[in-house]
Amino acid sequence: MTGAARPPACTGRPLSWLLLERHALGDLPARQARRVRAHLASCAVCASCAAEAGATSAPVPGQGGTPRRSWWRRYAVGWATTATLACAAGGFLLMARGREPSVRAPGGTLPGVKGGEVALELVREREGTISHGAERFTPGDRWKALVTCPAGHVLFWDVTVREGQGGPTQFPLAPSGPIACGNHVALPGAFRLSGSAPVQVCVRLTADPLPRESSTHVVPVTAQNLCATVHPEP
Amino acid sequence: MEPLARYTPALCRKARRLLGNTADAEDVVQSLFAELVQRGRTDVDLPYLFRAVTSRCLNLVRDGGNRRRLLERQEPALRGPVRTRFDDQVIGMDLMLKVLDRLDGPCAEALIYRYFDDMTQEEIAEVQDVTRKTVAARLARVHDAVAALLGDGSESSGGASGGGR
Repeated sequence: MTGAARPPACTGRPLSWLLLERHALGDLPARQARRVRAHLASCAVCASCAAEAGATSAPVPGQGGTPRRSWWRRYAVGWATTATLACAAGGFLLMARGREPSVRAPGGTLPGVKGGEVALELVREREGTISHGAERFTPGDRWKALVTCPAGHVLFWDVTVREGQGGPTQFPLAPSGPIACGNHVALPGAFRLSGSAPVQVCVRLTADPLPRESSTHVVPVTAQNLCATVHPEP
Repeated sequence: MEPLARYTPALCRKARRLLGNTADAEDVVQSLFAELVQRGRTDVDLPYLFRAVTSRCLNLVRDGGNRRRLLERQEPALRGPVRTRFDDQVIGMDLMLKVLDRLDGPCAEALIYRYFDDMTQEEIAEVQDVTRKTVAARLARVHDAVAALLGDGSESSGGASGGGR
């Protein structure tokens, strides 16, 4: 972002990610934790990092209260076998999410896929500053969509943008192929939003290639729509 | 056994900031855990694991084939806010890869701790188990290497932007 205005900076000495992670885990001595809290109270930049670090235990959308068996235990039990290794990898992928997605699809599952939870998170870049789960836009912002879907699945995708209630559907990105599912998989490409009305951004995930014209009409049963609404800056 | 599991998200974020994509980050953390299990070493703390992940990430990016793939797959949005800069310059992946070619192992580690993990000299000293003076010397070498690269004009924009088509 050469030539862009400098993004907001830390008000003092930035708290390291290691410190923030240890603070989020409750691993810091009381005195050090107090110092961290004091800094976070006065520094929005570090506070946003702390929020990310603090989202360590975010549940998988749709699995909120379901206790999940640790990948570690599965790994340890079947260490010698390839099958167990594969199982551990799957468990690992389920555990290793960075933060709770800001937007969830109603229902939040892929039809016909057991444990097929899906979620969408929009990421905004404004003058070099990255914001996860942002809800406001200006015409200069760049947006990316991060999708969480069941590891091991390969899904076709498309992004639609609709301004207001009755606005036309636009396709800001040009999907060149399917994505391999996982946690917070970034869809290729970035887009900008404009207009004076709220904009609905939807990501469609399907098991099969989907012609674009159908996006404006009937949504196939196999498709999963994940939508988020963002508003123009006042 | 549980201690390792509770550090998983933090370590994945750490690896993702450096590698720029989730899949490689998870591979790095998983391989580290697998090795620790094999060695029966599960009573480790987060600073130790941070260093171990850093070391593995550096090994990964030193391979030419991996570099190309990482550059292609990097998603700058995963880096998060960049709070520590070299003067006004963000050290992004492209610049980082070029600088690494000019640094030895300990200096490369120091580069990552300072510009990707936002650690202070004191924190780096603790993680690397050396004196703060040694860290200062290593960071000075990092500074010289970055400055030389930027002076060469061989650096391409390595900032936290882009990623789109």
